[in-house]
Amino acid sequence: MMNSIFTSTAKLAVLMIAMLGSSITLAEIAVIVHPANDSSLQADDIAKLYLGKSKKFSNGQSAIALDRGEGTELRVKFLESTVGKDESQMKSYWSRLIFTGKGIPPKVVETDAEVKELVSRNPDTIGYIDAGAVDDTVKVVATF
Amino acid sequence: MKKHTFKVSLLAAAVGLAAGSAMATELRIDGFANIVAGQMISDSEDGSLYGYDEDLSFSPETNYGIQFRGDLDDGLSITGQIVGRGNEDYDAKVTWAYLTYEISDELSLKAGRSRVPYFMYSDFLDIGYAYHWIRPPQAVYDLGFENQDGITLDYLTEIGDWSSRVTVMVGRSDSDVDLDGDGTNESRIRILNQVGGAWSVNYDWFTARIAYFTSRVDIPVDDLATLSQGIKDYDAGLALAVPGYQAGTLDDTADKVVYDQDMAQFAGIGFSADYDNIIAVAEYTQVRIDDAPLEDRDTWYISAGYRINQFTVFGTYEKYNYNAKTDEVEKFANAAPITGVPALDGARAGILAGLPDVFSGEKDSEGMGIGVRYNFHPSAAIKVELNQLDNKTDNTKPQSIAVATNIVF
Repeated sequence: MMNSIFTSTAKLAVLMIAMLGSSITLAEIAVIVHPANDSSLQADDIAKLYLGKSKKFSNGQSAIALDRGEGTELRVKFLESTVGKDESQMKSYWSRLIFTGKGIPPKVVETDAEVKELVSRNPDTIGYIDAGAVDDTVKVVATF
Repeated sequence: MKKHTFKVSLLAAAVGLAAGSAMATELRIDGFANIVAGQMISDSEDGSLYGYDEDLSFSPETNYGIQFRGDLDDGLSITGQIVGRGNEDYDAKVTWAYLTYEISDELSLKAGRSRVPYFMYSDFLDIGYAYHWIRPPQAVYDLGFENQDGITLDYLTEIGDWSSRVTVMVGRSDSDVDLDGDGTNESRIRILNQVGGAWSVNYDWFTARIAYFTSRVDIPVDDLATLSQGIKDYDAGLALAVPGYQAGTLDDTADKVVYDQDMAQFAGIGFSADYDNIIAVAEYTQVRIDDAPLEDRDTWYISAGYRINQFTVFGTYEKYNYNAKTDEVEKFANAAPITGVPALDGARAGILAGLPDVFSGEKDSEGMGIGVRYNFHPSAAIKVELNQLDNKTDNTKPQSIAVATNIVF
């Protein structure tokens, strides 16, 4: 009896540690590109792509940035780590461009799986997903 | 009539795109709304600001707009913006309609009706969400005309860590302007052969910008035309009556009292910074019109704000100066001899009485504003702003308060 309580407590502790571990991985963001994309991408370069300031990778290939849903933890953290803006500032930035025909913000893709699929199929794309969702169909160029 | 043509072509384009023709078209719709309520808090003899009076009203600054953008293949797109304004009974008007062709990633060509990039905030004047004020400082921004029909080239490049945008345009604009500000004296301002451009450079948190335009300004005003003709007739009369009088001596004055395709120049410089929690912006502009009553219009403002989470507190100082050609009256008096001929001397007196009105448009004012912006939603902000104008010319100090909700969608 005593033993089994201990066992279950131990199991619970292991489970909690595992969950804690996984929640840390959940918060980690991986910026991904097509495996064939050999461009070097610093946080600055990624920011420029998401701000529409550059439309090409360093290897000269044209770039299509994929964004995530507004209000998601992933997007909030990504914007903070790359462009250094919060969602309102980003909205304000893009509204200056949208209404002058000078640019359209990156397309929003809702799930990690969809981003991964688009990126694995199209060498022009760049996206960001939960680091835990990364597999060998895509190449990680940065993590935050 | 012109506006109507635009509306029809835009509709046709929108319908064609919505019908999802065989081409790979994509229709994007964006919108904005600014609901602004304001009123004067100073005495009524101090005049008004931004169209407000002593009772709360929504119409002077409330507006909404919808923008359609259809992307066709190979870098071709069409954009149309329909805006309704409270001060025009919310009648929806097609304010912009243009084709964009992306020649390359760096270079694009725009043809149609769009905004002239005189100022840093010209392109998104109507998008309250994109800036901290309720309205950009009017000392600088209240020029009277904003859009033009023309062709624009836009060149965007990266120079090291800096990005550079060069915009060059040619075009014209025709707009009805209320000359006295009270609806009694409307005139059709025509800005012809406008050529110019803007260059802005941006480094992470810092942006600098210069703009320069030249054009021919044509503002038909009946009273001025009559006065100008009167001076010419008087000059002809002098040439007949006064031996040795050189015909055409007064032509210069006759030309100066009217805006008849006069050469105009606009120049502007601006800076803005968005560093950490601090925002700062300053702009200075000059307008010069040769051979016209307006001597020069010099305006500038400086504004700074501090962000605390979703709040931004800000303050602004603006200065407006518009000089009159005061020496023109004296020049006329010196050039026009007293003849002893009653008809001519009567005409001289009449012109001398009329000239000061034409050349006395002098205006000097400074304004101050303080306000706060709060982003209460990822797509919406609410702002409160207090403004005071100090009119040095007529010694009035109108003060206003306004509350705005700015939405983009």
